[in-house]
Amino acid sequence: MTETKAVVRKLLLAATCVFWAGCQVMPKNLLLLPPDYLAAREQQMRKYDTADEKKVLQASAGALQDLGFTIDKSEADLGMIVSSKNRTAVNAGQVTAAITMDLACAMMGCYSNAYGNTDKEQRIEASVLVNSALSKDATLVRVKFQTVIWNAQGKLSRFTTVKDPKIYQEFFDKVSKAIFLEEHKI
Amino acid sequence: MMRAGGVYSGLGVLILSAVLLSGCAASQRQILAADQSQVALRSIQSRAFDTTDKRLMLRCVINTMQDLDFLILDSSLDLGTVTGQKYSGKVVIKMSVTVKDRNDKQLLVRANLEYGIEPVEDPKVYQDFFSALEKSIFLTAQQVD
Repeated sequence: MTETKAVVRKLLLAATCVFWAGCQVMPKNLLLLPPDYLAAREQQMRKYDTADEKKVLQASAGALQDLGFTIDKSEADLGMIVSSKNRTAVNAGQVTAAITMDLACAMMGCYSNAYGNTDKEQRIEASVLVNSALSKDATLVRVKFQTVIWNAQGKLSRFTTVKDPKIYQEFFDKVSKAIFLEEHKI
Repeated sequence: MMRAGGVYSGLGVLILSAVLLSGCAASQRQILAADQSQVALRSIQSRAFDTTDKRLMLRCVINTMQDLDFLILDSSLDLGTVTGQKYSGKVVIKMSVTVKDRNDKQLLVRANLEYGIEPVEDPKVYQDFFSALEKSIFLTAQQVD
């Protein structure tokens, strides 16, 4: 009798787990500022000693094109440019490991789809915001690079912000060259 | 015989229309209805600011959304809107913010957020956004020097 009870209890527990897993709980911190947001701003922002906002905006658009981005949206009144590029995200090492694992699994008679979870495509998004400083003698440029990666099944795999300082520096160098001005850190 | 046939076909039509209409009503209701009362939701999602510079406010909104890792999808000064999107795990989070004149001294900023296929109605989430926006406004003001 006690054994049947224990089995029933285990089954109930398993059923509850399945139901809970089905219900997606909405996280509370959806719009909470990340602790490193100031450091991120510092990396993404530069100041140019010019009041010519339009010139800086045009130079930014040119820099994005130089880096292979296509302009998706722009709103000159707000100093906003949204651009993106689609590229492959296939990593030979990752694919080989996944196929080896799937094959090994198949030989042992079980099913595995590690290949389906390998990275396949990525979209790199760059959003630029050009602001004149309140003092009106300088212009601030903020650029943010983000990547969205999809796996071989076409499902979303990862969403990250690019943190490599070299990429940001290359963008700002291109803007500097176009307007003949050195940028300053914020 | 005739009568019975009529009753059956009548019943058939009734059942069919009930099935069809109930499906319709459920999906149509979603178009207009919010889960909470409109007024309560509006107050959770809105905040007044003592400035009339709509352009500056929109730029602060864009900066804040970038701080919060949103991809900016669209923005318009004329309409006073900014739309963005980010992902939490595999769930898409969409957000739009509108800025409009409240009176001749204040602007009203309203944000609304969608988590997957659910609207976000938790006041804490919106409080976090407005506190982030206040920080962004402060930082913009600090760059005066």
